[in-house]
Amino acid sequence: MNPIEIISLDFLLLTVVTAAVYYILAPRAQIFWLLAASYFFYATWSWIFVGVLLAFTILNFFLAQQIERSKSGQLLSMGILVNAGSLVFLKFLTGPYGGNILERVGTSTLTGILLPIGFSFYVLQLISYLTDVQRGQIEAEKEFARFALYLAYFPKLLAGPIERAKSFLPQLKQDRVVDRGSIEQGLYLILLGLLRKVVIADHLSRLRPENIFTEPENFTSLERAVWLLVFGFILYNDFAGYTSIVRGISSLLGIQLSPNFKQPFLARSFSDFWTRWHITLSEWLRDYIFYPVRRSLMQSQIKGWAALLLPPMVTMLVSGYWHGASLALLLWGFIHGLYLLVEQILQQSKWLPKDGLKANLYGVLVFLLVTLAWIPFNTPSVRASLRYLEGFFPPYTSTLGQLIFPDILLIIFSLWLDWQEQAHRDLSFPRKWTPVRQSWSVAIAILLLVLFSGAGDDLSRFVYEFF
Amino acid sequence: MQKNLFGKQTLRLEGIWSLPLWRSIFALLALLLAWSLSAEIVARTPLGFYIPPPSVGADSFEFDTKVYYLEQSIRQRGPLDCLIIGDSMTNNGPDPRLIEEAYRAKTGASIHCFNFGLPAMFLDATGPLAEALANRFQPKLLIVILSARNFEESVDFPIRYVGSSRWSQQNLGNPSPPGWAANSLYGYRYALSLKYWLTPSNRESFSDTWRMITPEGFSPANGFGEQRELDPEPPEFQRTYPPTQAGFDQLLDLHRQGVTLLIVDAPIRPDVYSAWQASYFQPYIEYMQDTLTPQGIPFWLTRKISASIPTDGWYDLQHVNENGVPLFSAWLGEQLAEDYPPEFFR
Repeated sequence: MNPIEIISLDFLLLTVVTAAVYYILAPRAQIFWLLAASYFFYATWSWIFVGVLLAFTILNFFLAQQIERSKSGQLLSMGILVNAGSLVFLKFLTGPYGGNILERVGTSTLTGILLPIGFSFYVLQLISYLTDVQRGQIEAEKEFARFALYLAYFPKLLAGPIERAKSFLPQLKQDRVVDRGSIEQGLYLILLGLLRKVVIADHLSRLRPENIFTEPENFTSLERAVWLLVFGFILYNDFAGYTSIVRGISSLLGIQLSPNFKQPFLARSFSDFWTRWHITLSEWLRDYIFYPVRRSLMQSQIKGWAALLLPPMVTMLVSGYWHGASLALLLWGFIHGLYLLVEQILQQSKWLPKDGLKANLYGVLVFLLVTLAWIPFNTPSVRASLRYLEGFFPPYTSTLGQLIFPDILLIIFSLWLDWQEQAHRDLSFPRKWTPVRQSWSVAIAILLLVLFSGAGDDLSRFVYEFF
Repeated sequence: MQKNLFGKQTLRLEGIWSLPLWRSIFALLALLLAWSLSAEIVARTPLGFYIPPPSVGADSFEFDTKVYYLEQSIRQRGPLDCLIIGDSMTNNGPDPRLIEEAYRAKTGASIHCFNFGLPAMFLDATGPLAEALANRFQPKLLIVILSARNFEESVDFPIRYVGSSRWSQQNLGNPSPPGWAANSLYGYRYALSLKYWLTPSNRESFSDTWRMITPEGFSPANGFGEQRELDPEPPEFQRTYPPTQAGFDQLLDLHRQGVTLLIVDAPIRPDVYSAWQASYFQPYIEYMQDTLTPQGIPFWLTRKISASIPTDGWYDLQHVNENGVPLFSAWLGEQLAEDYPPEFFR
């Protein structure tokens, strides 16, 4: 059986059948039903992935209970070591350096199955779960099915959001209700997510020259600059579109998933950016890396530059490694760590503008610097990043490929969606509109989706599935 | 047991009908109607020539353009007298405007011709396409311009599959909803054009193609092309590729079904003809004459007119340019006047 992609008729069928049966089941039976649907969905990707997920589920289920009973820091360390160690090790093996090693020992074909899809996401959930249990912030889950569903829940299994047990598990314990509000929210989230993915991200992706980040020397300065800017919008709309779709589906099942994006390109500072971009990962990193590092530095009486430098730098380097075990991604993390550090210094020196024109200009600067950091995020190596960067120095060359005005409109459309989200303080903002406006917008959105779907290569996969 | 398994409390549909669902469906229908009406108006007036033509979804915008221009031509000038079909030698060869002029000069009567030549179209696509076009547009005379190379294995370009497109299949008697829509609804066809343009790899052909085709379907090749020198090794005439042979047989079937068919040998630069005559052109001409004569299908040779086209009238080995087109077109018009008098077209 072929893997079921989120944007596919198979997934639609899975969702409809799952929801239809779910609605007539008693709350407890619903858990087992969702678990079965989730494991079926995952099994279409690979039975090996199912085995790995099940093994990690069983191990952590019992480990959490032991930790709860003993409050043992050692057990927690062991749990973190197993979970994080597996992630670090598998990330390394599937990265460029590990890939080389495997190739040398003749097992390069294994790389494709070594890192199960979704692993990077559910391992973080496990680490936070064990830590929260040890800290006494939550109780260890006593019912295996609920715990297994926390990890395997199909809408979020492939690429998050990275849910915390304390917000997700209580929803499984109580009776869930799917009413007019959640249906309305769910449908609008799905529609907006599809617009972001199919109309904006996929269309711009198809236009992007395939090798611009691998062979930047073949492209002009203008092309490099424009496609770097466009890439930010591709990545954002791809991932925000995915999150919106899965949150919408989950809303139709009466389970609320956390938002991952809140208009990141409207951020007014770097720290603000990280409260708006991949929020569930950022919050996870903040709570389980940044704060603990800072706390331990304070406890060990380390002050001065090290105390200022280490927490953001370590956090962003971990973020870089989580995205992939390559020097380029570590460089991406390092750059963001540096941004945060400089901003912190500016803030302490009261040089950071708080409002007015200067604050707006600082927001633009943040956007441009974030954009610049996409270079190592995208290029396969640091060397390629430097080659890409060379285009921004003289002599300038200025022809531009096939991006034309109607394509640029999609970027404006993306910013308009953000503006609407912000203005209405609601990611499913059309429900705040008048019924007449809603009707026409839904009709136009459906027409756009029909027009844009299937125009060119199949891009039904999401970028973050590969992390 | 059943009490534990099932429950009715999850889905609560109170107020669900107050969602603007019906209104959205109404808005969608209204938008579709507005789009369809605008498309019908634009497509049926000369406005249609100023914007990219509607597509029939055959993955070849040249084909789309020619279908639409032919429809426009029939709308503006009435029933079609002669439809010329073939490959690039046809596409760049006879200009229907000049054929009509030559015919009028000789007979005093007007005829209505259209050039449906498509580059890289071999007989495997020509056969089904000729039948689909004959069924759809009912030309009084179907002129097929062929050369020895049309029997060879076709190149894997989108044009190879034009005969199996939904539009062609619809007109070959294999109806389907998309085929019907491509045949009947300009709104649907303009949406297909938009979709075609949205596919990045199509953008260049989308913007270049339709502007180069005249309303009569002719697409001139101006100046000189790259392949001007003769290959020292002459090719051999081959009929070993079954799909092109099947396409040729389909043309002969058309004749049997009552379509008036005229086959014209494509003009070839004289030195090419001489160099390749023995192994390539002569066996081809013999095969054509042996096959067509018994069935009463006329086969016009173009050696004389090819010889009268000056060297600077050739775009390359087998295509005429702006200097060659008037000579070839006038010759074709005059020949038509001789063999197909105005009474034939009435």
